[in-house]
Amino acid sequence: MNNRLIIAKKEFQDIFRSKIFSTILVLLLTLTATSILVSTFIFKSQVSQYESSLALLQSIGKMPTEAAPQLFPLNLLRGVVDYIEIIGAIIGILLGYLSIAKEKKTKTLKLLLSRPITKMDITIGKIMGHFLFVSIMILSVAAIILASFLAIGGITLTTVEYYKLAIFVMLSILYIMVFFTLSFFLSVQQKSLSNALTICFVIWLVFVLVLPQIGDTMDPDNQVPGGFFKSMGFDKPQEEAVMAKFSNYETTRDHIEQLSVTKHYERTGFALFGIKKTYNDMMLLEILKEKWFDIVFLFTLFIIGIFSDVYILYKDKQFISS
Amino acid sequence: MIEKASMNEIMKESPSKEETSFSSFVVDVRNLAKRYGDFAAVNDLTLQVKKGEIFGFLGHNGAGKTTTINMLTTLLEPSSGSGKVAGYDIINESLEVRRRIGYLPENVQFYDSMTAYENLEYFAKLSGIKKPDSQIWEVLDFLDARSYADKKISALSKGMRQRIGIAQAIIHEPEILFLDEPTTGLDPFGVKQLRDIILRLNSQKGITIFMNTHLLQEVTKTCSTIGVLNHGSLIYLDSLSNTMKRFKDEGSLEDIYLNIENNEEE
Amino acid sequence: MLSFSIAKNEIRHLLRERTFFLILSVFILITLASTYIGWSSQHTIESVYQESAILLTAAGQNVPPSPFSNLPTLDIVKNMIIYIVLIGSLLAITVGHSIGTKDQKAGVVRILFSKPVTKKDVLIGKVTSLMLVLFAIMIVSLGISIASIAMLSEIHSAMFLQLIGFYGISFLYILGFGLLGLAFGLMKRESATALLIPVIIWIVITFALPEMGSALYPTSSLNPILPQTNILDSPVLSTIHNILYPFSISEHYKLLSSAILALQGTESVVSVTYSPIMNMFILTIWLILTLAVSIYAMSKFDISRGDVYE
Repeated sequence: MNNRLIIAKKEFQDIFRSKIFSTILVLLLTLTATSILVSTFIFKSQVSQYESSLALLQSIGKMPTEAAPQLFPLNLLRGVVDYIEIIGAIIGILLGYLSIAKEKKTKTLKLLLSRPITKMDITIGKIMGHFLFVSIMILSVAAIILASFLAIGGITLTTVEYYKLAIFVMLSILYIMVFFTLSFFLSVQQKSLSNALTICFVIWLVFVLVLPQIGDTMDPDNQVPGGFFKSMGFDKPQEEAVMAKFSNYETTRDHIEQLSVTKHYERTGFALFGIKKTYNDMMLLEILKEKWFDIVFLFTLFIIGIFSDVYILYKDKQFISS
Repeated sequence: MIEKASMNEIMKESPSKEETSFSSFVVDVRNLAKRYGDFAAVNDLTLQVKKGEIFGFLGHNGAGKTTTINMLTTLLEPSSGSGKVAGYDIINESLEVRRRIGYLPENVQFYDSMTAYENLEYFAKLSGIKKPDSQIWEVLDFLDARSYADKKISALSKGMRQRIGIAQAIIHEPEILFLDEPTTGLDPFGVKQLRDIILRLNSQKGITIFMNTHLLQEVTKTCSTIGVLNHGSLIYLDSLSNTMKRFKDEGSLEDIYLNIENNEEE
Repeated sequence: MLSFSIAKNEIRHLLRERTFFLILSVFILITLASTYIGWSSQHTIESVYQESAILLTAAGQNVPPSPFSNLPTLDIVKNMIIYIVLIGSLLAITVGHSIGTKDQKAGVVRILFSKPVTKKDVLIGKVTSLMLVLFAIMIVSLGISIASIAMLSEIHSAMFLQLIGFYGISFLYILGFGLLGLAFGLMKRESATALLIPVIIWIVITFALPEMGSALYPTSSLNPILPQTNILDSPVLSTIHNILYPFSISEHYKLLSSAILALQGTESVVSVTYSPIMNMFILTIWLILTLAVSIYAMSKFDISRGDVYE
């Protein structure tokens, strides 16, 4: 265990020596703060819009039909989920790549293995060190979230909302670590490091950007700005009645989305933060119950990732001999 | 203490001055210097190399030899001073200089995904040879390396790569060839072959050779003139024959060379 | 002449790289998929409309006209706009990166510059090869689009021009990213950093600027149909929009492309709409700037650099 801690500590320190990560961390934190700010302004403009239409209605002696927009602060975090989806995955990939690249370039793995430690120690140690770094990174994102809430109008969260944020933090760490283990695996497995990096980027492109986008493009409701069903004047039951006839199409669309780890993360994140309004009225446990598959999916991928990393390092011959 | 005495004597001694017309210098630099902040990599270097010579530029690691070659091959602009290589100014006429020199960097590398022939063809074209095919074969034959032509560079050994490195440097028939630590990483047999090649290039093709090395034996076995660089300054310059006259056996010369560093630090 | 030799060598090198083909095939697959997905969802939504109409008639309500009744034929390639923004530009960054780092990775920088070539020759050679490769990719993509439209519906001569115009604009857009990949490849000594910086710029252009300037959520910018926002109602957001919008190159590219393809429904989102000429002007500035960065990178490039490259 001691060996693993020593390796973990070194990995952790190495990250801070690289300018790349301070740059990208600052980028993530800035984008988090600005996205919350933008969402707040959108919300404020919705409120003022509502108030002006309310005043108009009252002046002609009518009662408002719509309820006043209600602020669930976590609703403002959609952009944060989006950014972690895209940039978090890149960070995971880079961490995994650099963690192996530095050993390959300097041929230090041989030196490491000339000590009384196993490849298992090396893999676990590296994963632990990066897990710690990613945790700190996501916790600072959470801190920025709380600070932004305070800054834009003294919003404080309820206990349940804190729980939701905590679960989101854990899921984000898992999500990033899935990409870490993937690029760790490929960097060991591929002969050429730049090949490994390119394959990782292709995977990122396909799973983070393309597959979720295909799902969205195929959504009939998405084909008209503002939503098709809204333009037809449909309510939810009517919409469902129509879509029931296209269940095959919808299942295909769902399966395409399910292929992507990003969509599982996004679905849980959106549910926790009530981006889909229906979740705002649900109990936390109900949300988790509905999203259990997505959560288990993320967790399973991470576990598979760890095992694959250990496996590939044991199997690998040329990395050591080169 | 004997070494120290003779060392001081050497350092006072000025380079042997023979009557030579200006144009016969292939390398002619005056007060050349390269500074990085406070650190002077090369300091006030004045040096002439005559046409047809094999010049051995001797010095310990970090003495400034590679920086000097970088300036002479126009890869690096000097901080001060001036110089001509093959009759052209190294600062203002760098392209003319480059047309007339060949250069073999230390640990020469090539485009891995291409064959030796393709690499040579590319560099020959950049040297201005429009249809380099016949020259490539001629040079490969000269270096006894015809069989490497269709091999990928990644499949060549260090010694084979070195020959392709020389091939790219001489394919355009330069006036002077700069070699930066050419023996690094070669086995004794490879070193011997390289030495033969250098001598043949000099005698058969008439190419002036400027060679960096930290190995004294290389200089005494191949070169006609020796310069010694220490901490960026030229501390010794003379022909090999004069040097050999002054130091009867190679052992005493080696002692002095090994003691340069210590002397400077005192 | 020298630049020509250099360009030829760059292209030869690229064609021997597996990774180039990997990304290229992803891009081609996506081009194919994009048309198919466009076609299939267009069919489905028309059926969805008909079902909805039946339902409304049964309930005795008015049936609004179909929002899809007069969709332009080229609507099925609208996803390509998004794929150019996502994959095309990243592909260009990789190509530029590969061209910019090639000599350093091979360790031949000093040999190269000991030949009578100038930095200008090398830069022209590299930029030419970048342009040729990206141009070829756009031509392939254009061919696929034309073929698949011809297969799935009818194609007219006017559409050729529209498609050529669209891929022409796309070429300019991704060339900018290619030049950034090239420039940072020359500037940075570490391959991962050299790749990461253009990718960060890409993130800012593709996601961050549209979000900050036009209040579009990052994943919404991936949708060819932009959602409606109400930034006009918020004075603060309108002000930010007015400041940032000129720099939001991806939005200008998208708007210009949908104008050329005569698509519907993509123009309504922004409060300050620029004319297509203005969009084009901004894209031109983008190219000039990225070219300037490449020239700067080459002028700072250390040709005495040894074989140290990570």
